[in-house]
Amino acid sequence: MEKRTFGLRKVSGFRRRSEPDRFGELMRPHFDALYAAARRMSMSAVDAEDLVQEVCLKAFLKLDELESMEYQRAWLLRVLYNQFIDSRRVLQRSPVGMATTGADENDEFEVPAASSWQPEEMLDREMRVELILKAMRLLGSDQCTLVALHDIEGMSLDELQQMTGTPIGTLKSQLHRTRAKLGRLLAKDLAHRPDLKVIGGKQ
Amino acid sequence: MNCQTVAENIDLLVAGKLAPQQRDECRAHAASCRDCADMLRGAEAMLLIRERDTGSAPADLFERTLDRATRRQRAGSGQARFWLGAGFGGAIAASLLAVAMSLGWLAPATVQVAPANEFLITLDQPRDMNIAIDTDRALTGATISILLAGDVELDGFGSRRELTWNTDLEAGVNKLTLPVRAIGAEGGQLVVRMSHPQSEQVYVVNLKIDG
Repeated sequence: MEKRTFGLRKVSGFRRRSEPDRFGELMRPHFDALYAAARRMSMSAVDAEDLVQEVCLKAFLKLDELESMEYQRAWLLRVLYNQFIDSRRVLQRSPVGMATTGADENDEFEVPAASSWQPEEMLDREMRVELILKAMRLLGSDQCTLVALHDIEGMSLDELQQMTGTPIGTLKSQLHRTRAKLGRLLAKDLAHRPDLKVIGGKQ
Repeated sequence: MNCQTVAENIDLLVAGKLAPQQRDECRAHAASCRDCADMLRGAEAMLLIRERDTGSAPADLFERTLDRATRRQRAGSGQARFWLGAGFGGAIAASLLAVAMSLGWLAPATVQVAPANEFLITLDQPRDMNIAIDTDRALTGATISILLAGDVELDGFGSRRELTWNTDLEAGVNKLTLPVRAIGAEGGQLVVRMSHPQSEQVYVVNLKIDG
């Protein structure tokens, strides 16, 4: 150890903001959007709160990094969708079986034609939502995040390109492939559940 | 109508914004094309999720969530952690560089390296560089090392490139003043390393010649 060194002097009059304060300031503008996303991806308010909680825990770990990010909300949403994919607890709790789980997505099955989707054949809305969310869990993490940020959160391909650095053409084709995969998963679920004929959106 | 046209128009199609004729053509194509039917089904499913009524977050959820997140991190670690921050903003003099030391939070046993800051020095004339070290509780036995590289030296220490000593820190902001001067035209780099059991913090300052 050196004998001659420099001393430290206590300075009063200012203090760094605490991490909780910084975190609160950072999260407040994004919190409603996060909760809305979590609510869309959950079957109950309790599950949505759990999802938001997990995102906040991860975000807090990355506070310094997150503060310097340009696309903070997109990062938070990405964490949320990854967390959604990773979550098995909600899946286990669900009363609805997941016929697609053990099946090969390339299995042959009869696909209900889009033109045959009639409102009177549609399942209860929440049951359809549940099947869709389960199918989304079978997507890859990147696929799920891409389709969710674009189709659910409304991010444009330009924004996604800036955020990820992936060319728009590549993003487009990934998006189309992911939607098709999701559609196949849903169709397969229907094929395994003859009582549930239709899943769909607007006519 | 072909698959590419369906793919290009699918957002408008599911949103119900496509002209009736194009809409009918797209749907007719999807009815006979398995790939497009899948894609359409997937896009419509996403729309259904997008349009879900999310309601409003409970009034106290924000506070509850933040409180839980920050408390869980505190509870998860009793180990010391150093980290750097530049959160002093305008309240601090320009010459006071910020090094933050924090205790009792996340404790990865890794070296944390903060982005480099810049400090202007002059040739052959020492200039005081103030480093603020912030800690939320008193620390005993922290080790501080100063490493120098390039055409710079600490006034009074000649050609010494490294200094290391143990010190105690009071809770709050502690100021370390280093008289730095240039001894050549190239400038250099000063590294402050602060260590404590379980963690280590490195702070790099690029020293550039003023003018």
